[in-house]
Amino acid sequence: MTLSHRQFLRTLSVASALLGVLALGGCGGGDSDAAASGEATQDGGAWKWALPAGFPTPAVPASNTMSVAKIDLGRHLFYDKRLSGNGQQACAGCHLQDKAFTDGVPVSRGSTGEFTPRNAQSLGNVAYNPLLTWANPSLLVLERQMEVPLFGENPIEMGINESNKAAVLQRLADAATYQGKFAAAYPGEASPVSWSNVIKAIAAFQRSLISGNSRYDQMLVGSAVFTPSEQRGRELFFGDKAGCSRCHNGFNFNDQVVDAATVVVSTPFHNIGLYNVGGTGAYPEPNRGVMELSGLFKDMGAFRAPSLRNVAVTAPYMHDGSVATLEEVVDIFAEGGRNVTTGPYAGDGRLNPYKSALIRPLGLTAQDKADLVAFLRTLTDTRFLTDPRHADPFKAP
Amino acid sequence: MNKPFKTLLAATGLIGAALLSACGGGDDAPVAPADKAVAIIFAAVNGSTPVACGTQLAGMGSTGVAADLKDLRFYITNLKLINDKGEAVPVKLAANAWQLTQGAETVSLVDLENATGACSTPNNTTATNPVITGTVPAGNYVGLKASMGVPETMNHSAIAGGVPPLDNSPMAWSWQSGRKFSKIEIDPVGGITKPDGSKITTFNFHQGSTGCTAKTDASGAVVKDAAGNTVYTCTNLNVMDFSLAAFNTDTQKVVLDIGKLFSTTNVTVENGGSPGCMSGATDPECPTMFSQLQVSFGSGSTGLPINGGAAQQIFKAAAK
Repeated sequence: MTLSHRQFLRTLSVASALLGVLALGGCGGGDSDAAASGEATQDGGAWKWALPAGFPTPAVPASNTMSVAKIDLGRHLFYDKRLSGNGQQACAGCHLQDKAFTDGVPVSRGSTGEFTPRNAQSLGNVAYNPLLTWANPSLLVLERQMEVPLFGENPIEMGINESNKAAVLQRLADAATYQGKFAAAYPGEASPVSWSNVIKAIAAFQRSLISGNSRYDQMLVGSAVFTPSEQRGRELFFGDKAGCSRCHNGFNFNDQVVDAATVVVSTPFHNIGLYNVGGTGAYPEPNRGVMELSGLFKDMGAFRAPSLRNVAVTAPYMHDGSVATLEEVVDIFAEGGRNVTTGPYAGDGRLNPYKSALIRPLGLTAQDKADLVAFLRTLTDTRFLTDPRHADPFKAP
Repeated sequence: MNKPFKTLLAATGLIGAALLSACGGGDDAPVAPADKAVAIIFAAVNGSTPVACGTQLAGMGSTGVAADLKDLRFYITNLKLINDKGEAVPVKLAANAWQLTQGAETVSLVDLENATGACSTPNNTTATNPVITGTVPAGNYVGLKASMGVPETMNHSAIAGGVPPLDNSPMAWSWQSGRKFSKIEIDPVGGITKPDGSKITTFNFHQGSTGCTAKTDASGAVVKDAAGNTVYTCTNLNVMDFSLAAFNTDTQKVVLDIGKLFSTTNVTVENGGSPGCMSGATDPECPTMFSQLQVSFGSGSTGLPINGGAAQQIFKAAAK
């Protein structure tokens, strides 16, 4: 598909959405911009992906098919503080659109003040993740992963518990916002306001968060031109010298991808030498990677390579948010790991015995590193960060 | 035994059942030997002292510290009564929100906390369930066997929208996409000291399967069950088996001895891993806890009951 064709479709889609708004507005419906559908087109409520060039069709569970009404419901729930036990926090509290649905802090604060052990991850292109979270080989679908922030006790995030879970559902059932929305999303169901339907709707909204319109994407189709520094950075990134693309490859700049046509899913995890506490190879608790699930020391410090799309707006970095800037990230990879010289976690991560063989000193010059950072900044999809279809429906436009 | 004789015996049984039914004022004539209704009561003790939320436990752990109970819930699966022929006969569960039968597998949630005292957290419940009810075929039953755990075929189903009692969110075990088999928590008086000198409040014992990943077939594709759900395999199931050779359902109950469960673990120190023992294969507080369960524990171990749990002493029979 040529860009002009895509732009035409987009314009058409926006126009249709506007018409929809006007029509519904005329009937007193209001609030219908949510009926628009990410990169997809609207067709009588049915869902049709309209994906960036090079993006495969996402895998969607048969038990939770996409629909415009479901995404609309999910978007409202995602941004609704009433979904937390104490009414203080929405999913969006830790997943902010302008930060590609991350939250800008090392670790996140839940609705009751407890902190997560790990850094909030981007939700951009989450539909393509075969595994969710930083290092859990057992969390395969959003519908199951979501039980962690909703119901988890260690730490408490959304704070839904045995004492309030019926009341929170009732709160949603009673809210003016949701009159008709559950029924529209789950037609034919006698009691559509249920926890499994809440979860399914939010998952559908999350799957609609497709990001593929960065300057890098525009450069690929000839509608943007890289600066010399960005171009050098691109060559380093994909070349042997820096070798970033060994783990950050493909359309989503990572090495764990699933789509509708995938048969065999590869789910590697990597120790990149961030820690080596006391020279034992240990990562600090409770962030020891896959090892905490498998019990095997070979999995010490093994985490998923995150997608680098929108990476410039997702600081701080790494599983524990312990690296503040993109420049520092590049420095660490250039050195083949991180030498922690002081504090309780002191130890030379570059010598971590469980470190991936791909992580080694790269011999990058200061210019090389600056070029790599310049390239990484081209992966920001500004439209995704401001797209009204992904935005807070409770805020005035 | 020849066939006609067996038929005769069965007929005698039928007559007996009909007679019994008539004596008991039954309103219909059964055509098969009446099943026997059973109600297996569960309780918790500390040695011989009854355990409840709001009552301090004495002499807990290897250091004998006093502690407050914070949570006490566990799943019992595949409950069987042992008859006088030595056969283990499954208890057919009654239908209620605390127990579930799927195919040949059964599971019940025993909830012995009532949200009072130190148990008064938002994830505790005033509702309790100290009993598993059901039926067994008529017979003479002398013992009991069961497992503390959830059958693998039920363990990984979704919590939200799940079937009771598998929809209980405090028993969710999200990090392994399964369930806590038991959730037994105490707050030792004086707290729990971490290596850096800081203190935490609660010693958690969360038993559950670990090393769980999606099952893949020979080609590497993820295996789904008939309902389209992912099938998981776990390296360490960590289900506990126990049997009580002498158990009288009429006069006795099953007691879980919390004192014995914690007896070989120092519950006043936290040396790493999750606070207390959450079944993590390298958690330093877990080996002594699992030794009480008589489950082979840790990386490279089977995660299976040792000799059918023959040497376990935490579940006992006691007078009602």
